[in-house]
Order: sequence, then structure tokens, then C-alpha cells
Amino acid sequence: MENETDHDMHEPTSFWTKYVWSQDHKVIAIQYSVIAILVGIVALILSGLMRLQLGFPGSFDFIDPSAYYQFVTMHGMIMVIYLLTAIFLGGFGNYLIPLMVGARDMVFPFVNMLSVWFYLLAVIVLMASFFVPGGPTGAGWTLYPPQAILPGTPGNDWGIILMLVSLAIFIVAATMGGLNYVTTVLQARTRGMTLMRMPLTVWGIFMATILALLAFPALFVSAVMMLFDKILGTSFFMPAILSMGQQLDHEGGSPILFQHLFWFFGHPEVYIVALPAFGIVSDLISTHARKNIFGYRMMVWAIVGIGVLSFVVWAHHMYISGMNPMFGYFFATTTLIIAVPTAIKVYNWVLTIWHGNIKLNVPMLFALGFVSTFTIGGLTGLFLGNVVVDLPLSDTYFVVAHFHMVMGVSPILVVFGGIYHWYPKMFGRMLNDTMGKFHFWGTFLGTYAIYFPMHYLGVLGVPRRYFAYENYDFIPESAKDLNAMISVMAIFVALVQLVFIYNLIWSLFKGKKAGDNPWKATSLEWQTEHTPPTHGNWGKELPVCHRWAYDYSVPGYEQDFLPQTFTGQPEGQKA
Amino acid sequence: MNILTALSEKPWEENPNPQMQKAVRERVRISGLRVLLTVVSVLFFLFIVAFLMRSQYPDWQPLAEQASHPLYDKTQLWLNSIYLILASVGMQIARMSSRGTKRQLTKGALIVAGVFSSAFVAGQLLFWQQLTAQGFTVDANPALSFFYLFTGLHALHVAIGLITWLVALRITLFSDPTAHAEKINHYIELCAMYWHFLLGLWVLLFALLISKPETYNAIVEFCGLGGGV
Repeated sequence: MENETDHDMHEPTSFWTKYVWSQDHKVIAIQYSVIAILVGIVALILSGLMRLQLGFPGSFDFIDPSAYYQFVTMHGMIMVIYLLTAIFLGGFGNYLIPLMVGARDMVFPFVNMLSVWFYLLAVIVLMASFFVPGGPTGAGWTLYPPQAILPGTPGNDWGIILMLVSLAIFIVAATMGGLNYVTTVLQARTRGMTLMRMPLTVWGIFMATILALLAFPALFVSAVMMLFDKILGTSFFMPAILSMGQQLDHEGGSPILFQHLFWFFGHPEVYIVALPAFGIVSDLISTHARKNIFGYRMMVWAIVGIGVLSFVVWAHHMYISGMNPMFGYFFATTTLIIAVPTAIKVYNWVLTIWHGNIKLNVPMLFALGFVSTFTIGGLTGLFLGNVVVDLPLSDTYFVVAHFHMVMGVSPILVVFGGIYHWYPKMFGRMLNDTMGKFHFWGTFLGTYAIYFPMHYLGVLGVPRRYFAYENYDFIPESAKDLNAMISVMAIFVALVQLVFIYNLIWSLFKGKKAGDNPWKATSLEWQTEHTPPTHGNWGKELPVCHRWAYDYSVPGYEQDFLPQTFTGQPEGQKA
Repeated sequence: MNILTALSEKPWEENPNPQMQKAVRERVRISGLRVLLTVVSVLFFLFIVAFLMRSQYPDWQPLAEQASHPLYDKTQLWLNSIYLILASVGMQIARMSSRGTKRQLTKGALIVAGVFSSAFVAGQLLFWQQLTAQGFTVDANPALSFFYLFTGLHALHVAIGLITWLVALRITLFSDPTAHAEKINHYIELCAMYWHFLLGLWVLLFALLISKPETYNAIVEFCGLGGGV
């Protein structure tokens, strides 16, 4: 909005209104990020425990099959929803959208505050499931009925109910946040900030938010209907079934209906995580290669195209579900088509780097790491998108390797890159460079060492979801050695993250002072009067945007970057 | 406002007077509400798709075909529908009158809208009670499960709307009508949009729930949802 609005005039003064019940998008962003990182650490520990069992079966008494499935389920759900979705939209979205489009805050600050508290509530409900009788659900992160709510599945009593309730609360939180992000981008851009001048980060988060607003209802629908089946005894998803020798009251429900609903959410969810990552990486690469982004318009349309296409590919997760086989052809086709806009983006990143004045700063390392892992992960997606190739591979470690490369490692590298890039703006100090480089190489090489060999395990036919691999003749000894190696690397990568956490805290007090614009970047968030930006972001006058966000190394100028607020003429043309 | 207009808007253009500033803020709220209503529409759309797909399984029993079916006697539901229609009409009258100077009419219409909305929610709960008393519980058959789910979620949306209605009512009754005329009009405008939407949604859900199985089959056939998806 152009002039001051109500909330801009009232800067909070007490500790509580400033840092706890804050309506300032920057504080909310930090709250979102801190909660997401903390809950992410829980999920990281769970993955370590899983790997201990897989690498060294039988060595750890406290990991029984039930516990293992609980670890798997909670690890998956937390990482996908409560860490990645929350940190990209709630963390980066909240911090960057108003600053990058030149607004004073989100358009509905109160709803924004509610959003983060609902998110915290969802996390608390989820974490509570560790402490209820039977523990958290072990139904797998996809929570497929009928097994999710039947006896025999760990946590079928309390765990599953808390999981579903927590998801429903999370969706309410995400919707409240999403309303803000979309409306802010559409209605609160500053003068001169046309849609086609917005940084790609904003484009990515904007499109991802639209996907979230349209896809999360599907998860809500499936969660509510499953809660009905569990608590009220309805038969939405539950077929007639014998459990432990007894005929249950359910009859006639359709488990496949759940899968359709779940994946109608689940696939766009991949892009809810990926699109912000695409956007952020574009900005990191352009800034640190000191070159304008190659094919900006094409990048925008690719983001929009991927967003739209992501709604018509969901059943490629269900080739082996027993759905109508005719569907496979349609969904394989749409899945392969989505590779086109995605490939355009990869080419454009590479062409942006080409002949750039590349600065291998830590954020740039993470961005380049992303291009590498995303390309590898994307290529195996071409295998799995084809029905005939997917059928034998679907239940093996090939799939685990694929989705961890493409939607585990890749987005998290961007999260790290984004934090190293914007931390100086958020706290006024640089993160330590040495620790940052160690963190990057440890994470990048370590995760490759974890997931690359998994492709081979998959091709060997090593099945996923199994607790132990004894007495399977087709699994050679070497596969077990490889599993042990993967587990060692997984523990190593987990430990490397401690360096990152330490760096975050150490640099808060001892990091090098950053100044307003340490990366010499063009976009609006680097042009604030104060660092960190104060309440209302811009002092008295809103910035005016005069150019796109990618004017790096423009010929005719002394400095190698022109901020979006810059109005000057090239040296030669000055009057 | 269609999507193209939204995209081509230029919110950064100079707004020289404070009057225009208010217009910007109001437009932001209306956009926010539209986005919210889109999300709610998607939510119910997906529920309806699930309903239609589930209707193709052999254990499906229609709700309103014979005298023994739970929704055969629709008197209470029609009555509730009339309440909701009256609530919507009340909102519309309040909306239109709040633009002019008929303040008493605005207040009256707004109160009527709230009362009838509460009557709707109460009426739905009463009907639930009647059904349960007859043994038509939520787990009795899948169509009935959907009935409880749809009506429950819809009534919940009306109930949440009543909270915003209270806010609008407070402003209308207790703030200075001359100084805050636009604010009053704006809040009632938002309420009216939401109420009309919920009325439309209810009409759709009501029609769907009492339709014949042949209608479901035809829709499913037309949309290609059948055939063991």
C-alpha cells in the first residue's frame, strides 16, 4: 500500500507484543523458521535411528519393528509438511514477500500472527503423539487406509488421531498464511513493482502458495474423512475387512479414493516445496554470478506452467495401486510433459552461470549444489514416470533415492543457501564462512554418498519400508555392506548439521557486521534504511521500483549492480 | 473482479487523497475474502467429488427415494433453507441500505440476518437430533455419513460467519454512523458476500444430497470418474 496504514503507525513497544504476539512479518518469519528447524531436528534424529537399524540390524534393542515404522512415518511427515512447507512459505515467504515487493507488512498482519500460532499448535499436537499410549502412528507418511487405522499398525489408537488432527490444524494455519501471501503480492506491491519486475523468489513463493491453497483442501478432506472412519465408524475409505479374525463394522469403502485425494494434495505438495526453491536459487545464482538471470520471462512462465501441470500428474504415485490401468498412460504423459518447463529452468540456471563473474560464496555453493542434486533427482523421475519402468522399481530403494534427491536434499540445500544469503539482512551479521563451507561440503558430498548408492540398491530389488533384510536370498551381502556405509554417512551428515546450528547461534553475537547490502544485490530487501529492517520496513517513504531485479554487470556503469530503486543513467549518456 | 483484472491492477499508482487510501484497504480485504472463498469452494468441490466416486460402490443407499429413507421427509430441511435464504436477504438489505442513510433499516436487517442464521444452525442440529433418534446415525450408511459431514462443515462455516457478523453488528450499533459510514458499509459488504456464498453452497449440497442415484451415475459418467478409478 502506498501510504501508512493502521498497523504501520503502531510500533509495538513491550517485549510480548514485539517478539511473542508480534504481527510484524519479520518476527513471524523468524518464529516460523525456528519452530520448523526445531521440529526438523526431531525428524533428523528419527532418520538417524532408522539408519542405525538398517545399517546394523539387530544391534539396537530399543528399535523394534513398531518403533521403526513410527520413525519412518514421523520422519516423512515432519520433513515434508512441518519443516519444508512451513519454512519455505511461513519462513522465507513471510520474511521476503513484503520486503521484496516493497510493502510495509503483510496485508492481514493479525491473521498472519494467528497463522504461526496455529502452526505451533499443530506441531505440539503432533509431538504429543510421542507421549500417548501406543506412540505416534506408524502407518507410513502417506497414511494409507485401511492399515492406518487398524490394529496391528503402531499408533492406530491415539497416534493416528493426533496426526490427522495436527494436519487439519496445520492446513488452517497454512490457509491463513496463504491468504496473506497471495493478497500481499497482488495488492500491496510498491510503485513500479509490476508483476514482471518481481524477483523470481517472490514468483516461486507466490505460485507455491496458490498451489498450497488449492491442494491442501484435498489433504483436509482425506484427513477429516479418515477421522470419521476411525472415530465414528463410517466407511468412507474402509472396505469390509477381517482384522485379527474378526469382521469389522466397516463395509464398502474405497481405499483407492483416499489415495486419489491424498496424491491430489501430495503431488502439488512436491512443487509447493520445489517452486520456492526454484525462485530462491534463481536469485542466488544471479546475484553471486553477477549476471542477469537468463530468460526471466521464460522462468516465470515455467513456474506458472509447472504449477498448473502439477495438478494433473498425481496418479503417477499410484501405478501399482490397482486403479484403472488406462489412467497410467494419461498420467505418464502429463508427468513427462512437466519435465519440459523444469528442464527449461535448469538450462536457464546453467546459462546464467555461463561466463558469469562467479563468486563462490556459501549461498552460491548451496545453489550450485541444488542444480546438481535436482538434475540427478529429476532424471530418475523420468524413469519412474513411465509405467513399465515404475512397476518393478516402485517398492524399492530406487524410489527412496529419487524422492530424497529431488525433494529432500535439493530443497534443503536451498533452505540452507537462502539462510546464508539472507541471514545478514535478518540479523545484521554474516554467518561464519569457514563453518559455512564445511557445512556445505559435508552436507553436499554426504547426502550424495547416502542417496546415490540407494539407486543401485533399488535396481538390485532391495525393497523399501522393510524393517530388516534377513533371509532374502536375492539380496547379496554387498548390499548389506552398502547399507552400513549409507548409515555411517547419514550419521555424519546429521552431525554436520550441528555445525550449522552452532554457526547460527555463534554468528548472532560474533559474526562479522554485515552492513546493508553485503552481497551487492539489487532487489528491494537490500535497500532498506536499517539492517535488520525496522518495523514498517522502509522508514517514511516507500521505495519506488524502476527496474527488474537482475541488473548485474550492466555495461556503462561503474558498479556491477543497479538496485531496483536506481534511477541514474549510464556514464556515457549523462548530460 | 476476474483474474485478469486482478493481475493487471496497478496498486502502486498514486492515491492522492485519504479517501482513496480507504478504497485500497477495502479492496485488499475483499480480495482476501475472495481468495478464502476460493479455498472453501475447492474444499467442498473435493468433498463432492469424493461423494460422487463413493456413490458408485454397491453398498450405496440413496437418501431420499422411499419413505424409509432418512431424507424422505424434507420439511425441516426446507424450513432451514428458508431461514438461510432470509438471512441472506437480510444481509443484502443491510448491504444496500448501509450505502444510504436508512440506518435503522441497516441495523434491523443485520440483526434479522444474524437471527435467521442462528436459526439455520439450530435447525440443522435439530434435524441431526431427529435423524439420530430414528437410528439414522453417522455410520448407518455412506450417503448418510456424507450428509452429516456436509451439513456439519457447512453449519460450521455459518457459525464462523456469525463471529464476523458480531464484529459487523458491534460496529453498526455502537460506532458513530456519520463518521464511520464507509467502515460500516464495508464490513456489511464482506458479510453479505460470505452469506450469499454459503447460501449458494447450501443449495448445491442440498440438491446433491436429495438427488436420485441416476443423477450421480450420469454426472460420474460425464466426468469420467467411474470404471474402477
